[in-house]
Amino acid sequence: MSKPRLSSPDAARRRFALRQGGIMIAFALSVFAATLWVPQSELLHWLVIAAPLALLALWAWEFFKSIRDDDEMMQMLALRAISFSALLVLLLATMWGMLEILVGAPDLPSFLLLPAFASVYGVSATVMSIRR
Amino acid sequence: MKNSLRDLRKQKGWTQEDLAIELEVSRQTINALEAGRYDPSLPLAFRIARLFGRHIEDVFDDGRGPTARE
Repeated sequence: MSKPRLSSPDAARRRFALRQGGIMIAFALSVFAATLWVPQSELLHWLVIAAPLALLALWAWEFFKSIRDDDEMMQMLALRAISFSALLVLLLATMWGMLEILVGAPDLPSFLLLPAFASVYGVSATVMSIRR
Repeated sequence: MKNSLRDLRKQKGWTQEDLAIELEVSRQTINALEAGRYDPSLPLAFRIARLFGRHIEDVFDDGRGPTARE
């Protein structure tokens, strides 16, 4: 079967999707390891804790690289989706923080911010892309 | 902005994917350009016009000037 010909931005987006999948699987495994496994060695313990953080940084690098390699229209859509998602997540997190102070709402774990951003970004980028 | 990109592409017998490869943009961008839902930047408009051996105003029409240029 012949390989489908893709333009360079389409190929870059496909590469990013594959890498993102790999990074997310590694991230999930590393979070499980950091949560469940407490090695005897101090160094190994810190390495297990550092692994998910490094994978998040790697994801961010791949994400920005995919935007850099995209064409002008897709870059515009991505930047709009990032702006919208960042604004919405920051707004809701700040509002929740106000409720924590004012009415004693439960603490919002800050590790949820990036997944919340990624979820809103995924939906908004898809909607913007379909409308375009 | 109106454009004749779809007609020019079909004259060449190219698919949207072929044109995307020639212009180094995504197929989605070609689709949006042909449907008039996205106006390209000036550098991309020049690349498109040069690819088909035309002037920019032969490919794109903002509806404000003389329509065709021979």
